[in-house]
Amino acid sequence: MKVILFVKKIFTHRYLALVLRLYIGGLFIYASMYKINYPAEFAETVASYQIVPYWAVNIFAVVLPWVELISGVLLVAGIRSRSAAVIIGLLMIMFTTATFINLMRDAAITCGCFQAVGEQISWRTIGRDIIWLIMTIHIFFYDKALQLENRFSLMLREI
Amino acid sequence: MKIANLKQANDCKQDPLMELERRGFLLKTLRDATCELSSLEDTEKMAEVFLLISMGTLGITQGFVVLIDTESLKGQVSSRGVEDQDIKRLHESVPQIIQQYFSNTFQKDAPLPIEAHLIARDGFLDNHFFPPETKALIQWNTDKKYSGLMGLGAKILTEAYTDEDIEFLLGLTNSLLVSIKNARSVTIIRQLNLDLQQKNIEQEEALKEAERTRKELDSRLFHLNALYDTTHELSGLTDTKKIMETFLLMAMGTFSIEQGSIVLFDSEEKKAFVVYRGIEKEKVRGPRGNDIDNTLPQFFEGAKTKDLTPMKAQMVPPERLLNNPVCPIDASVGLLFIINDTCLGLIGLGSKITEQSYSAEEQELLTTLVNNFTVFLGNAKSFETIQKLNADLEKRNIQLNKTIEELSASRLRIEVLERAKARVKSVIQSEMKRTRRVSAIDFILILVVALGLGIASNLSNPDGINLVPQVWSHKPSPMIDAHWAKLKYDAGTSLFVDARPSDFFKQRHIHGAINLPLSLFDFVYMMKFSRLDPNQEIIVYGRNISRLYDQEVAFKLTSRGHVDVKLLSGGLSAWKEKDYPLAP
Repeated sequence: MKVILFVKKIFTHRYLALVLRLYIGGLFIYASMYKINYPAEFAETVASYQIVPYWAVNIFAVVLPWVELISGVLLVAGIRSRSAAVIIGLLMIMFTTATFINLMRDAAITCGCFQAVGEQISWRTIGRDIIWLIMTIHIFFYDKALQLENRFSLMLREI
Repeated sequence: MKIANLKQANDCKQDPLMELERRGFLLKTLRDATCELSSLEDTEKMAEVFLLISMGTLGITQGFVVLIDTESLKGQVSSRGVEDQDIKRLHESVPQIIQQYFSNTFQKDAPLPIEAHLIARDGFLDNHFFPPETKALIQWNTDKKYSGLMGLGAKILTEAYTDEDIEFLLGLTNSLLVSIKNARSVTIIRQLNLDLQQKNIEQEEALKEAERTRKELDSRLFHLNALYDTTHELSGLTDTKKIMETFLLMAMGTFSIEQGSIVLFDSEEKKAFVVYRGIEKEKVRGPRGNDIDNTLPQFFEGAKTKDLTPMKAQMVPPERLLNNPVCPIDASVGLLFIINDTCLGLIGLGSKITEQSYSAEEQELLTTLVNNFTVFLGNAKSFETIQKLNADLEKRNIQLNKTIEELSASRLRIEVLERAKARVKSVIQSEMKRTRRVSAIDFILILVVALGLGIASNLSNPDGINLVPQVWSHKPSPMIDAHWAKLKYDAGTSLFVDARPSDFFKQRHIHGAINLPLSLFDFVYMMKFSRLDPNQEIIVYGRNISRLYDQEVAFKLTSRGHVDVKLLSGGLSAWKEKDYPLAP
């Protein structure tokens, strides 16, 4: 019983959430970098998934990296981190779904997660995405520490 | 002269003239006797004269007169020619005589005729009261004091008493009675006079007494006035020292005293009040002003042991006043008074201006005055205490007011702070809630910012891409349906171009189609299409939801000069549905 409680405590700890937050935030910032720099390649990747209609592919490819970047930055900084976590969670769901669909289609496309060239999509990709999604959910529920936005209000509350 | 007249009367008895003369003589005698009797005052003498005249005129050898006081039962006997033993017997038998002759008359207390009357004549007497020779007895009842009897013995010449004799005797007796009455009146008047004189004296004494009383009343009035004045003067004062001074002045004025002093000692506050008058400052003894040495407490501690009650002054014995260390003057009278357990005082008064000593009354007055004075002192003390308390109260009130003001100010400040705190708290809480809340605005904001930044970066990026699909700006190529295309395919007149990337082409394509991926268009075109007839019919296919490869390739081919470029309607899937030949 004690062990369960201890484990639960560890798993629900705010510093764990902080670590995950920084990790996920950093991940998204990193991921967004190449996409922003090479919009044409990313647009190609988007198109390869065959989910976004042709007229929206380019604008999607231009805006999505910025959404990732902003959300990542917000998450790392701890500003509106829950909203950012929600957006990142939704993105994760979207990626996972898209990957799953294309796996079902048996489409031999690259993931395009970090680079245009690279790994092929696979079940591993989906598993990885699901882990990241769980981390994001954890952040959504347990993140409290070192939030830039909450710094003053927390200080005042302590006073 | 009387004896001569008597002889003459006897001589002329025989003849009528003589008789007349005799009568005249008797009348004359009667008148003379009346005159003589009326000039007398003493009843005894009167009785004697009366007896003498009676005997002398009628020639009688012996006789007696008893004047009887019926009240005291005493008789006064006058006699002539009566034996001593007879007189003695007569004296002794006065009560019996009264019993016999007067009892019935006087007990009734009725007015009686004052006339005399004859009781017996010519030796009738068988009783033993009267002398044996008594021949005639005359009785009169005038009043209680001077009734009486007259007894007469035998006549010298003739044995028997004539009617004339009796008439004469009765007349004479009446004359006597009148005289007695007169004499009595005189006596009464004299007595009255005496009484009056006595009364006068008494009156004078009473007058003197009244005068004395008046004086006493005056002094009482004076004392009362003094008391009233003192009370009046003191009543307006509340200051202890002033009360003492005023009282001393009043007391000295009231008793005309040269010197006086009052010393008041408060052992609780260790304070002494000293007031004196009529003495030069240099000669003052003992405590001066408010100086306190040990003598004061010692003296008053000593005085306290005596049973003093508050507001009751006590005279100090004179021997204690001599060289008294506390009293500033040489006092001839001193009073010790006590106001409460801690406050004692001594009043010393010098001798009077008149050099008289203090009378008991004055001492009493002085005590009363001092009692009064102590009451005022007590009041003044109470007043002082009250004032002190009042001042304290006022001070405390001010402090309290200040505290209240401060408190209310603090309260206000606290209220403001509370409000601020509540406000800050609510702000913090709402902020906390807000930060914890996921709002649609965040999403919209993030999306809008991302859109803006994306577009901006894309525009500034040299590798930027077109946000609007290029195909929208091209002239759309004509479409050809799968069936018609099959006919052309069968005829072998048309060239089928697969526009998709080579990966897809490798997976499945129309049999005989040439792969012309968009990304490798220039290269592949140069390799495979450059020598193609521009009029050759080309049917382009290959699109998916995300990419309209066929359109773009068709556009590029058209722009390279190919005239007949068509798009396969429905694409590969339409071809596939109809089971037209596919590879691989």
